[in-house]
Amino acid sequence: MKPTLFLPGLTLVTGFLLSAGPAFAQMAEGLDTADLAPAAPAAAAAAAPTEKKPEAAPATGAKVIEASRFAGEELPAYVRQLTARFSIRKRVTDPFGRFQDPNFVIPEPKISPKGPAQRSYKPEPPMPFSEVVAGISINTVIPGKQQFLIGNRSFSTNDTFSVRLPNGKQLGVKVVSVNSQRIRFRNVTTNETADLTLNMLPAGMQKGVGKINAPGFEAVDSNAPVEIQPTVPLSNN
Amino acid sequence: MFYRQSIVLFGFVVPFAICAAVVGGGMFLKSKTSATYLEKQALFKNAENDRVGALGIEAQISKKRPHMERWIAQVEKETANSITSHLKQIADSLPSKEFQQTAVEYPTSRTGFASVSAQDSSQVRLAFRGTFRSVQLALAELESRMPQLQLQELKIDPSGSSTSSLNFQITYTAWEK
Amino acid sequence: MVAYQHPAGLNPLQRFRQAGAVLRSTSRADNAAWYRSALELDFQLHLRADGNRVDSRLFDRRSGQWTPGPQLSEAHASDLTLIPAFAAEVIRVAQAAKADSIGIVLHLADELATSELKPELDNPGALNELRVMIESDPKSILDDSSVSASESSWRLIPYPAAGSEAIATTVCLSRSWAAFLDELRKTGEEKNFPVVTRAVSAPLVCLLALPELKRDELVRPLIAVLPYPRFTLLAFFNEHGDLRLLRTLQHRGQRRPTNLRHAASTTAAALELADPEVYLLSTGDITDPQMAADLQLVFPAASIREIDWAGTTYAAVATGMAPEPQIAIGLATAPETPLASSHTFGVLRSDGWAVQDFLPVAQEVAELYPARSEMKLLRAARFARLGFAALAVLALAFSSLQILDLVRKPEFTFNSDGAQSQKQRLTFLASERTRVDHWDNLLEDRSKAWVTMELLSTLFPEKSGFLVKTFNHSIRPEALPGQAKAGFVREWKITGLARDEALEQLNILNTRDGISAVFNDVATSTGNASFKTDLPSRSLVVNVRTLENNGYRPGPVEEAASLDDSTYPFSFDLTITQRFESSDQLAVILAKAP
Repeated sequence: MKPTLFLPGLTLVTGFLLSAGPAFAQMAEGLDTADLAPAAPAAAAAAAPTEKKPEAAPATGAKVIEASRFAGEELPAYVRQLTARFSIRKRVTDPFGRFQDPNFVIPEPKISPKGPAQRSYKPEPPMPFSEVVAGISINTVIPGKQQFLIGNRSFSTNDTFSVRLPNGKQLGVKVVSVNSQRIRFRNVTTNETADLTLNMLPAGMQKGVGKINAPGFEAVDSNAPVEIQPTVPLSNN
Repeated sequence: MFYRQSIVLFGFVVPFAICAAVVGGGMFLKSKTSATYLEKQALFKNAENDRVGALGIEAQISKKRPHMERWIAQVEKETANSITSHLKQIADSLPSKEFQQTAVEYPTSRTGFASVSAQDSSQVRLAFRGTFRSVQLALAELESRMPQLQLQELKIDPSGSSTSSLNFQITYTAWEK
Repeated sequence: MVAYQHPAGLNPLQRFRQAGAVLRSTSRADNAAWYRSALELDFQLHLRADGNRVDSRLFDRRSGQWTPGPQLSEAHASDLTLIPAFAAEVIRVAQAAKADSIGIVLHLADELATSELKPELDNPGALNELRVMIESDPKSILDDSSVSASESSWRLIPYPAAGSEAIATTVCLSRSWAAFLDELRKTGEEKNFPVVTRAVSAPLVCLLALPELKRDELVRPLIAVLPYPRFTLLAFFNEHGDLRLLRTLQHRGQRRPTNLRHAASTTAAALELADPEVYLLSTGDITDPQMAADLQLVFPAASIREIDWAGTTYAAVATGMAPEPQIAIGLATAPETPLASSHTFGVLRSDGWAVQDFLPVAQEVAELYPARSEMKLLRAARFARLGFAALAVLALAFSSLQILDLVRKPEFTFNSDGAQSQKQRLTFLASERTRVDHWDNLLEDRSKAWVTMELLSTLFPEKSGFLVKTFNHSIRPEALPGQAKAGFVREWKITGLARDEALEQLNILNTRDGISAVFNDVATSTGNASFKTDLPSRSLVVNVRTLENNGYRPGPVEEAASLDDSTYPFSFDLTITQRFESSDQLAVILAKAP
């Protein structure tokens, strides 16, 4: 099999194998940079710290790679220098998805016990009760009567009704208390309590403080303090 | 007034003429020497420039000159022979499962670089099957051994027969002398 | 002594050399006395030959002193052997007196004759012309054709009186003293001492004493009788003081002319000179008392005046000295008398008619020597020659210095063969460089399969949610006409499948910056310069299309096998085009390598 250039060829091949041996390990795994080390030229050793970022800065201190036509007598060393920097060496698969180790057996795809048609469902995590409560849309609150309206249905304290969750489940909810600021509900099943804070004001409105001040309106009281218009907007209380 | 003319002639004119002749002779000699000198200076300058230019060129090509012999030797060898022998060596050093040459052709049409260049060349079409890394390695080895190969076309497809092999089709233009 | 030749017979070079010889051997260039008149010189010797003896008096103009000079006799005129000694004595005396020259004035009182002009010459305006011509060609002027220019010498004396028939008369003297004067001059030349001679007619000079002698107004015509040992001169002046006639009466061996009174009276009558005054100017030391008595027979005694020189300005400084020399030296200033201002005497004195030189230097002899201006020119030429020589030497020295300077420069010795070999070497190297550069270019790593594979691996890292399906890479050159290098275009067409996590990466890759970053990474890790993107001669264009994968079936994530196409929701289509201009270093040289 060997050609007539026996000795040089042998030298080449031996050199090749010796220096690049670890790179051609039968096992694709274990392609650590450590295995590359001793015989490989300095380029590989310097390439080690930059292994994590192959696209990063060039190997500092490494011999500059010359053009191939200048390799001349040092061809084997030159080729070693080139091959040491192949990014494929650190990969199990190539861009085509092919495994670099021809003996590598593709692991069988996992088959779930339920069979391929079945899909395993994970139970959805339960919706927090506060969210449930927050999702209840209240039309009106009659704090005096301790009643509120959802749609055209009215509920009052100690009433129990069921809430349908978006995923279809139903939940029992009991009304604990009603006042102008909030309505307290209790989860029948878990006895969890959650408040629904009422913000009946439309967006943009805020609760007034003190007297009503219409612009242009002047107080009768001559001792009344003078109103000022702050230039900096008041914070929303 | 018999003497006046001759006095003027021999007393003034002739000495003046002699003096002028001497001065003129001196100036002539000097200008001739000067001309010769300028000539030589120009020659010298040219020779100096040539020498410096030669040194400059020498400096420029001294890096590449040692390689010239090798390059010429390489391009003089017949392309097909070189490729065959190199590929054989390369294939011997790689496992056959990972690297296999499947075809080699030498089309006669001049395409690629050969179509615009007056330089002699030949086309090589190679086909391989193997793993990415082995083929890359083999090509690096081949192209480093034969820098006259200029890649024209490269096609890579996944091979249907195995999960690790790719099919490679490469076309080169190889410069020849 | 060198015998100088007449320059007319010499060629110019000989003339010049002769002039140079004159310059060297004589003092003619320095001593202006050579070119002056005898009467102008400071030291003068006045000789008076009246037929009996020769008087010799020295006059030093500087001191105004008259001293006796070296003795000589009439024999000196004929016996030339006596002259050199006399001449030497004369020069010695002059040198002893610290004079630089001596002027010898010979007053000839031993003969005088008059002859008439040709009657047709009656133009007074031509007098100056005639004055010159009578020296050179007397025959053309004199009425008497039997004249010999070699034996006698004539000079013109004008009759300036208005109404006179003739414009002038001529006075004739023989050349008997000519040899004497020649010898004197010759000796002077030998000794390089200027000896300037002048032979004047003593009676004519004596006439010029009249303005001094007659100090009062002239109202009557005047007859001047000048007795000399061998002749008597009668000069007739009209009442304006103009000369009417000169007449000579030879004594022919007698002490006085026999027809004196007859000639005087008849001529006076003929000239219509009524009641003239008669002045008897006896210049010799022996006066004839009978002369006065003779004249009294025709003229009233009151009109006759015998001049006693002792009471005049011309008093003899020494005994026995005739007045003519003194008159001669005093001619520069005119006496302040009415007669002096008359036309005749003014002309006679100022125009030099009375002191004409009867025995001048022969023309040819005079021409032997260069004139004064020529001597000066010669002197200047001598200096000029020196100057030119110096200039020439200087110029020569300067030129040779410059030449020497040039020759010594290193470039001069430069051998042109060296230049040739350098040029050859350069050409050889240049051609070698072309060859080397050409192959260097051809063998550039512009398109390497392993590097492209590295690109593929870098684009789609492991576990990034990509599954590449096809990979196509092609390179085609682009050659524009007329360009030496051809650029090329590299194209990658990659199709595959992608998962959700890969979409962001695809979006990044879809930008120029994103794909450039990947290319630059590949360039750095492989050392292949063709993947550098920040060069102006390269451009990179990317296009990503993301589509839905029709084969996708949603399922649990952990069960998704990487090779299962149905686990990939998306499919992508990535096209990258990298263009290299012909100015890029990797562009291919199109020519055939040498």
